[in-house]
Amino acid sequence: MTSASVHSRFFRAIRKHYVLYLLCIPGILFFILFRYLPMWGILVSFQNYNLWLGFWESDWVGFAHFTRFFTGPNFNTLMVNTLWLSFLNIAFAFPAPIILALLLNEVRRQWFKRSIQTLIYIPHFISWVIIGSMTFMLLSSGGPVNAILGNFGIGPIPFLTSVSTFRPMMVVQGIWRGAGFGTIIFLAALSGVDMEQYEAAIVDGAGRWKQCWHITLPALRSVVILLLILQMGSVLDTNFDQIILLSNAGNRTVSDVIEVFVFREGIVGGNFSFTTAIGLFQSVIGLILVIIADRAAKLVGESGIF
Amino acid sequence: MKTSKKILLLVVGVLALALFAACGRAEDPAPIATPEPTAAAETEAPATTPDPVDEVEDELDYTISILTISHSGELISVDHPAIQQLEELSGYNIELDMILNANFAEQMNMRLAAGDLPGIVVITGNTLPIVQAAQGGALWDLTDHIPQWENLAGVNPDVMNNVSIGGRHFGIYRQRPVGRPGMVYRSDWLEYLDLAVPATLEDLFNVLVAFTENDPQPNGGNTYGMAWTGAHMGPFHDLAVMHGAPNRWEVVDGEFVPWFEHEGFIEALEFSRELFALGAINPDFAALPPGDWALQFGAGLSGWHMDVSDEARRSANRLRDNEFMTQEEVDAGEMVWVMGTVANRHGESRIRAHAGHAGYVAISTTGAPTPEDLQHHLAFLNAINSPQGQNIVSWGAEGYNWEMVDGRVRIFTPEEVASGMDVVEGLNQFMMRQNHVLPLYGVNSREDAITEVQLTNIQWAVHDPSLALMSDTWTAQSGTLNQIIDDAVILFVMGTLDMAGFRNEVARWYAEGGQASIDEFTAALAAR
Repeated sequence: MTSASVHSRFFRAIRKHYVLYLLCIPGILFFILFRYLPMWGILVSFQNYNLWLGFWESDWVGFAHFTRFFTGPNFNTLMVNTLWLSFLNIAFAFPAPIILALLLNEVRRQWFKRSIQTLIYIPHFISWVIIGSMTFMLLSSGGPVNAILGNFGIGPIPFLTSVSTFRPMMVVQGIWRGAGFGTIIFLAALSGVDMEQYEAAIVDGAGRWKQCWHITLPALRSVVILLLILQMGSVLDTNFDQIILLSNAGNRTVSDVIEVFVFREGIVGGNFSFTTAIGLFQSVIGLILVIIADRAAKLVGESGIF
Repeated sequence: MKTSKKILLLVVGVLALALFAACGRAEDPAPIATPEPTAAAETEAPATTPDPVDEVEDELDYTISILTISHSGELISVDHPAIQQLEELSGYNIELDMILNANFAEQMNMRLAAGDLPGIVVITGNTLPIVQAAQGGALWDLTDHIPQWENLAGVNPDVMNNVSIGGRHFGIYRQRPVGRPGMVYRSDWLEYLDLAVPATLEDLFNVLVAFTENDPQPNGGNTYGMAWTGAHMGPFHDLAVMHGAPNRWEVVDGEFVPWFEHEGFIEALEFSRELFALGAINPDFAALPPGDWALQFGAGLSGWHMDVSDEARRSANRLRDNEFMTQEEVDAGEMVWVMGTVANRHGESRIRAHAGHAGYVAISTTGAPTPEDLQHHLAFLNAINSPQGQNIVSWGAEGYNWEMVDGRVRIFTPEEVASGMDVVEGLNQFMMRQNHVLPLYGVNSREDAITEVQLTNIQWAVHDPSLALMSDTWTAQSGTLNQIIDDAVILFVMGTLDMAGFRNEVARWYAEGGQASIDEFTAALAAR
């Protein structure tokens, strides 16, 4: 087949379904204007970008900003702290909504299930600033948690300013705020399961555990793997709002992460090229991890995302 | 079939148009307020304007555009008598372009990059983009022009240096009190405990401990001396300067020496560590959210608050809201009082001076391209800085918003102001000098005390010598460097670090850019 005939077939298809293609135009324009064109902006990470001179007049500096970041005194600490939080997030915060969704799925009384669902969504709508203040009130040295521990002769424990308590607090806050809302997508996947499968399993003598293991969990598998692959893309991203409110001098050695550093040096100092370089580094690592995770998923027979 | 296709086409067309319209809006922010001479002429109240408005309109043929800040989002109308009075005073039309304070820095950068700045621009600080733009020719260099204008010539040279870039002046500072720091305290607690107002740091120490141990809040519970927050270590730095340390930097034999090398700083460390051990500083201060800091005093928990002197006003209001004070007590100026500083063991009184400005007002080369344009804009700035101009931008239109009583300004009550004529804040955001601003009439004694503290503080003010100089390393890394020291201070005060541990952190400060900053500041000073 010649390329000319491919072309003519392409144009014939457009002529035939031109209304459908017209319908696409706003969407295509959106992606070109707001997703693809701005990508040229990553070039400023190889410049000493000067707002006044603009993109064309600014000096090119090659990999200078990357070198400064990688060889900086904080690089190792920042990477280790960021990866630790991401790991804990995947190990604990990621499975939490799945477990919650499974539990909700077993609730037979609809009114009870729906009230619980509504209640556990609420924390998602509370801002991190409020959560930060609540955490301070609960865990401060004169707060209720230390008062209760004091009755047992423990403490007071300086939860807020200790190195060892920072990561658990991050995980607990994250689960408390996000797990309930995260169940939505899993409950939606579960609602698609054919009820006849459960009925057949009951006829075959399967108990609750066996039903869960052989029907419910396999139904969730592709959603879980899909979300896990996407999660890999943000391994170097952390929740800035949450961290900035929970970090302080007492836990700085474990709470200093890439995004806080970017805020301190880049945004406050107006150093756009340096922050763009760090952002590009984060994206490249994320992309590599997504591709690896996708290949791994395909190896075990899942469909992946590409 | 045909009609449904047509409808589909129509839908697509509308969607595409909507998208383009959205793009257009995002990239081309139209000026929010534009003058409409006819509307202005119609709404102008004729009684108080001496000249017929039409004649004035004829003279105004040059328009000055001002890019400025709004804190509330409520914009002042160009028909407002205050704007009209400014137009008459200066002889120019005024066009206001206001940006919400929260978005100002971001919008400013975008406008700068787009080369889309009006003639008069409010600059909130010398950030890296502003410095690059000014040095690249985005702003007029006013150094040689300022002395030629009557109302600009007398500017404070120290504060002008603080807003300068490479020794050149690109605008007139937005004046703020140099002596703004202050210590707000509960005078009723002092009376209750039969203590005198502290005169020395030792007295201050004893008062803070007494506030902690004797719980002087009449109907309250456990109290302590003063609140700190780890996110804002201002109180400690104030204490360090009082003890004798420099304000950030000290110049010794032409060489920059950082503040934490001074023995006064070490004394302040020990002073604070002892206070913390005695419970006179809140135990969880390292983690206290900055927004909750001032609330500790306002909730009757602490009796001493080191911040800015005008915090006395807000503190009294908070105590009233928490029912520790009545409105009468607030108005009478009782219970909450303010002082500047106390003497250290050498008998010196010292104040950590503020920079004296909140950025500056500049003239852009895009909005005023020719030298003639520059002269018009300078004439306008000169008019705004005249005694009459300063009072209009401070208080609004005389006769509409305030009147003169005994040489002071009596602000009209809300009932006295005609509807729509109240001064919308935002006018004072392009106020520069305040040397002719008249004092307020009928304020309580606490307000007078605030003013007095700010004036007496000036003689004790210790200035930061680095503000007038540039160091690229410091501009880029001061956030991280300051945090190293602040964290070390917090950990030392809490007892987590000992002096050796503190020195380790100081060594890290030198290695991670501190030494480079010292060298650059020293070289910049030598080049002066």
